Amino acid sequence: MDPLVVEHVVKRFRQGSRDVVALDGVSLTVSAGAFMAVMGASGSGKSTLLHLVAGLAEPDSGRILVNGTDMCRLNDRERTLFRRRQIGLIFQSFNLIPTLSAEENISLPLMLEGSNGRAASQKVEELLREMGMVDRRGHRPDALSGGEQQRVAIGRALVTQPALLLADEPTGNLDAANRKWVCELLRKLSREQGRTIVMVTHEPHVAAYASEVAILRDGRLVERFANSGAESDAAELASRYQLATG
Amino acid sequence: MIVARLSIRNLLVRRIRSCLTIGAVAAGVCLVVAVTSGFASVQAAAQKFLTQYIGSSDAQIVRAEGVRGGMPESLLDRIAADPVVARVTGRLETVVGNEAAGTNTLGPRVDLVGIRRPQDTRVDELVMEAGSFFDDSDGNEAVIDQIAAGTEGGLGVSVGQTITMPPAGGAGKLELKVVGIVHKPDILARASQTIYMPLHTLQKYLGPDGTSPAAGGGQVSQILIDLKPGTNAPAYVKRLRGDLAQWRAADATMPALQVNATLQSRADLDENLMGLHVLSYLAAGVSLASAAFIVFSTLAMGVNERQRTLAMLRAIGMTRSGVARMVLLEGMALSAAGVVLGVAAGWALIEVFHWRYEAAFIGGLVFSGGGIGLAVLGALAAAMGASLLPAWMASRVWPLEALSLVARPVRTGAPVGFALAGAMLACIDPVLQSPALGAMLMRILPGDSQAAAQGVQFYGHFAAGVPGMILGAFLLSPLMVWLAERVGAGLVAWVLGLPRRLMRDNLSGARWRSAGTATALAVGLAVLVAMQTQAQTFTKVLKLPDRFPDAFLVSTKFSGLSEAEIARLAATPEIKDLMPVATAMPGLGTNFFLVAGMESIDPTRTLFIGVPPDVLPKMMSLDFRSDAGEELAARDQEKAMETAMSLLRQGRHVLVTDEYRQLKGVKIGDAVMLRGASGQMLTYHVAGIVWSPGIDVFKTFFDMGHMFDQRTSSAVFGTLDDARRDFGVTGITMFAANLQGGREMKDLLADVKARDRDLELRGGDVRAIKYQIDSGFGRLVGLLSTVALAALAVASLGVWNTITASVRSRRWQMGVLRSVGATGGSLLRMVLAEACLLGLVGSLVGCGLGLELATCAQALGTNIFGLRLQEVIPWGALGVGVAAVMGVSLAASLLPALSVGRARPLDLLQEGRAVG
Repeated sequence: MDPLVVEHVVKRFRQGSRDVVALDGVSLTVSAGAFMAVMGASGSGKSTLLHLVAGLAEPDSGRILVNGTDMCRLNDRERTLFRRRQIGLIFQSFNLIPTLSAEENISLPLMLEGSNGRAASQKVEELLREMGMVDRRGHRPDALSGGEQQRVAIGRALVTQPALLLADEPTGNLDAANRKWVCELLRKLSREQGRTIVMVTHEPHVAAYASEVAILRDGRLVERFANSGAESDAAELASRYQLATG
Repeated sequence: MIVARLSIRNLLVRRIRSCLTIGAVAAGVCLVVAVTSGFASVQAAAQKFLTQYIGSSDAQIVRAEGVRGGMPESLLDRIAADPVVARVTGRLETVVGNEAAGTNTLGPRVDLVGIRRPQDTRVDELVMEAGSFFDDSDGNEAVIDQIAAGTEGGLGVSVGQTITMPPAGGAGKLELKVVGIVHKPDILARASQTIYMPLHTLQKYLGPDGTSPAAGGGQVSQILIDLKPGTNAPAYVKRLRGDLAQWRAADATMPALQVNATLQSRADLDENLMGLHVLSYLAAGVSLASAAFIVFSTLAMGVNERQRTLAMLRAIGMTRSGVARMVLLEGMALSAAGVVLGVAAGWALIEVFHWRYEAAFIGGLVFSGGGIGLAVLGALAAAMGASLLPAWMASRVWPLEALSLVARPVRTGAPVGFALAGAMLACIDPVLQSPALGAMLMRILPGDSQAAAQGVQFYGHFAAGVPGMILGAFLLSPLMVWLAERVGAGLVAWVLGLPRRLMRDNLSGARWRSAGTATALAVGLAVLVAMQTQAQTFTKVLKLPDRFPDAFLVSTKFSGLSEAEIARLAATPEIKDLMPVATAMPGLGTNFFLVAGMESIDPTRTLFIGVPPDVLPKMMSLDFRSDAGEELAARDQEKAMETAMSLLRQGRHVLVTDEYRQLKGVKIGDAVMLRGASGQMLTYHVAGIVWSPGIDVFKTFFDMGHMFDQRTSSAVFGTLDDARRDFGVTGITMFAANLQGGREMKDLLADVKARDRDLELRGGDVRAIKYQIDSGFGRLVGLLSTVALAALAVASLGVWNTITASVRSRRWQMGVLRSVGATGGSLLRMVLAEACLLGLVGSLVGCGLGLELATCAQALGTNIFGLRLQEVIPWGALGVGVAAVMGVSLAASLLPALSVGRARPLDLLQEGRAVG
């Protein structure tokens, strides 16, 4: 079963007196363990697609299946619980809770689930180690650098071992070193742990880490291709992106 | 200019918040205007009552020392002979009970007023509903008020019809033809109906032959004197007092009389209403204080949310003072708008009351200029004060914060510094009222050091103590919020099914917003708690002792009962023991109240209760005390009782209450100066100090009937003989009685009254009297408590504002929570949990502040009056107040909670980050 299936999804927004079509019948499938980069210019609908997949909004028509569950058939509460347990979200602006420490931010989904046991603590401990945040576990976001905050956000996204990891411009606010670290981590999660990752980005050298690339333009999927996943292929990817988006 | 523009723009951007804040200020101002104007109208009504229904004149002559009875009508001609006198009016007034009026449709109290016509032209100023006044001092005609004439609670008669008065002390039944119906304010007429009749007709009705002074014949009960224009009224009054003394010296049958100058009466009335006046301004202050904290919360919220904007303004060149001025202007603009709306609303509110309850506004509707001025200046000053801290906070924003992507530091440490400052402010009054400071002040202050020390304590309480307590509570609130989150958040989170950790730091992270809201809630609760504590402490002393008379009997017979009539009453089979009680209100020899300028608080009279010393111990349990107020051992009690009674029999000795001892600092054997009926100072000595709770019931009951003319400071017990000899008491009108057992009190009393109608007795079970006092007092306290509840209502606007803003400022954070799996329901519960914690803090601070206010007020009372009362904590009222605060807090948070619970996650996320 494919972790993500999107079928003919349409999404419109009202802007002033006119309707804007953000997604115009987009269909795609992401197989298990894939690391897909969704690219497009500003306004292409890539973030909208991500939001729909995450259950943060509902499509006007079409179907979205995550791990076989039709998101469009769930009510708000069911979608929320599903998102908590099956989907991990990483944002561009980190979006950590300022009053919680790094460790608490990572364990937030477990807190919401009411999981306080040993297994939960162990999981959090593992993620702190994996993210290199053991020494910074007690610090609040205001005491962390951008890179550290994003690591905490990634840890939070992974703590429930979700079926699907969604990242919206995860490197947008990071310096080059941290950007590289995050991209390598995502690639590693995909290759070594078999995590299914969908990442939205407009940067070719970030998308280069992905195993697949999908390009949206004006709300439509205009191209989709496999990628080596090597940073060195960034230039080639950039050319194809240029061509596809005009 | 740019600063003003930015201020106004900012207020317009947050329209709902600005409107709610303006609404809170307007509500506070409206209350001030309405309450103070209401008081001014009460004052006008009282003055009009004094003028129109009691009689307005330059001078008034009545029996001395509050003794009931009459004076010879012949005095009128002697006074009229004075060339400076323009007009002399004599009236005979008495009160009869329900049964005496001969019908059960009249009210329980009927005033009979005998007037001389055509000389008495004062009645021509009254409004007639039908007919006109009679023109003779004789004749069987009457004018009655509209309630007495009406069918509901009245006789159901009209002009031309006849009413029948039952036999009184005079010549039997009396038939009177109604020739007029006069309008009396409803509220007064329902309390006491009035029948005007010719003077001589009333005299004959009350007395056996119409001329016997002892029975009221040929008597008047008051003489009203109008002087010619340009006459020096005080000089005339002084001369008249001398004349009366001379006439009395020449005529032994003439009773002791006193002359009251009307100006003095009006001044006395104003003094007696001073308490209400102060209360109305206190109520005003409470409302404005609540509104001030709401303004503070709003501005603090605004500064909190606009950190980035403020930082950018600083980064591009605005000075600190410019930023501060911007915030100050916002506060003043909110307040100014609130003032305009509030004055208009207060005006409208009092107009509505006037329209709805026109009967109560007998003096017309009076707008209080002082109240409006207080509202306007007070609101503006409060807003200015409330804006200072937010303005300072805004000026501290560092320009670099505008460039930072890193989350703004969240302060999570305990705000100890502010708490310490708050604790120091809250300690000002307790230190000021402490005996140690009082003693120190007395040592260092020059002149009359005791008076000066008491002055410092008295004025210091209001100028520094009370404001210090309120500000102190505000500065302590952030620490209380912090503690509530750490101690109470766990329980609240568990009850509401939330992760405990999510509850921490949400409120204390925005400490000033939370503190302002909690204090706004606390102020109203504090006033409620303080008032209820004082009230319950005071009424606690009003309790019945183990032994107390079964009933009090009151004769409404004009001059009271003679010796023969008393003997007849005592022989009644239903009565087991009878104790005649004479009452008088002699002036006190010294003004012992030492605080400069506040003599009006201290009554200058005492209640003298004259009883037969042999009967007193049988009727009331007396608990004798030592000079230090300590209870005596059982065997010493007996000895003290014997000694005291023996001294009383000697004459010119009194038993004083323990309260009196505390007030005056007297010991057994000390002299007490009382002014006699002839104006001479008489020396009495203290025969014993007693504690008898029933005395307080008795005195309070007596005082309640004298709210507007004379209040007494305390009560002393002497003998009947002393009362007759020294204070001019003639007939006795009050009796304490023990009744034969085995029957209902009500039936026994009815039998006593029925057996001897001529005695015109009314009676009351003492427990019923106490219940009446408690109920009356309770109603007064309840009325005052509505002010506190109104302040809470004002605070509710602020709470709504704060919680709405708190939720709004964290919408992105809530979006994050939704995105990681928090349900809408959990967000709703989180907002309600915060409201719970805010309410909890408000309750704790409010109860603490209220109890401190009450305790300090008690201490002030001890310092000024020497009176120590055991403070009673009103748990019931506390419970109600806390429930109200929690209710307000939860209710105010409901809409914001529902709003955020129902919002879509993406909408919340897209509200923007709260990095700063």
